Amino acid sequence: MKADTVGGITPAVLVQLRPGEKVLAAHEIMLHMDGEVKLHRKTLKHLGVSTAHLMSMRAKGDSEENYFFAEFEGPGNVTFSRDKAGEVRILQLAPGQAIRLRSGHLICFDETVRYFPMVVARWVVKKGNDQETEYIFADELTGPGTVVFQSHGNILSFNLQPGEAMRTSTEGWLASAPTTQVNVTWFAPRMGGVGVNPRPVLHLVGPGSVMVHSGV
Amino acid sequence: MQLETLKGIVPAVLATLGPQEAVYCEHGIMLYKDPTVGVGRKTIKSGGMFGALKRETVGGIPFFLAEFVGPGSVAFSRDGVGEIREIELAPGEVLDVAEGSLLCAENRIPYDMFYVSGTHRPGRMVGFWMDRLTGPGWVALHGFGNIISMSLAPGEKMTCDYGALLWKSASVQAKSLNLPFGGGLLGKLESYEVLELIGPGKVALQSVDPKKPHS
Repeated sequence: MKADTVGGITPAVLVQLRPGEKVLAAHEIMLHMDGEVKLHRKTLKHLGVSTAHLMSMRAKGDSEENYFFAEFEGPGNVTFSRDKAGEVRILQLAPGQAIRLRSGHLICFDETVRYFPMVVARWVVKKGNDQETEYIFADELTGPGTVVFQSHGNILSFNLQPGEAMRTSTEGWLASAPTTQVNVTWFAPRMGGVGVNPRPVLHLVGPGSVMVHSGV
Repeated sequence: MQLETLKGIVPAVLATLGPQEAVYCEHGIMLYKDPTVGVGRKTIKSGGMFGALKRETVGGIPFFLAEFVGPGSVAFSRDGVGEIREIELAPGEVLDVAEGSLLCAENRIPYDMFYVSGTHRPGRMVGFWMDRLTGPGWVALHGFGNIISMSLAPGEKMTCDYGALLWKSASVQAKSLNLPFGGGLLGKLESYEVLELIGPGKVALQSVDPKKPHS
């Protein structure tokens, strides 16, 4: 497929498909498609995600994604939009190259790309007398093929050396390489020598690339 | 009348009116006006009382338009991130504009509206309204997000999301369509509720659906 970004602040993605070529996209984000483009459904089970894993993800509260993807088959053009202000990135993944992308940001990907939903970080928060686990869900995408996604706001990219670390807010993490460790630490501003209102932050340790976005 | 787009992330349009020149717009989208500009009400006659009641209850559209009479300047904004297009309609040219997108139109442009039915299925039980504007005259439209324009050849078809359609030539047919995801019960249940547009004519799409919650 050939993917191009259309527009600026709230961009769309134009995908040109050759005859028989297929692209998978999240449900309900199609903006327009040519009359000759065929529409199918591809369940996560068809993509190799086991029912047990899917149920385990659901039990955790799940990501924003559905249990299936819409599959568009060429020839023809399709555009997608996430209805948000942000940047679109089009990545060409080499065979075996992978990226972990925050759930709800994936726009579309080639049928040659392997998809796997996962949890990249978890932490426990106290709510009154109860404890609740919160998760960051991600889509792991492994090449070869093209992957298109959108941030909320602007994207800041980093390349961490082995052992090099950086911190970001839990909302700020957009994507990283599987080689980058994503750990949760707690940050509490000190007032009068006492830590108050502790908040979870993500502690990312290289090697690998990291993308952070400025919106929520 | 002179139209000027006040560019920015959330743009507005400024209409400069000569004496007795007038523009109309949907009630509630005026940003500011000179004290010399008079305000009036333009009743929508299309469909009579029941039509107005249907528009008000189903579409949430006011049963009248606001009219501004010069001399002076008046600005309008749709309070959304997007782009503005100023379009000059030739005599007899007809433009259909999705509800909630018209910023203002010259008073000499006749105003009408029509309803595009939904598929009556879950997810698209009801349709939406479109404004029908007939030239000659100038109109200003707000597209949410970015505007993508294209032309359809006679009989050429395209499919788009409901919220994606911004405007179309009157010669372009728009009808609701259910696109199932293949066969089986799940394929029928999980489906796209979309608009099918059939040429000939021009079409403009917007990249953000104004009815969806967005940042």
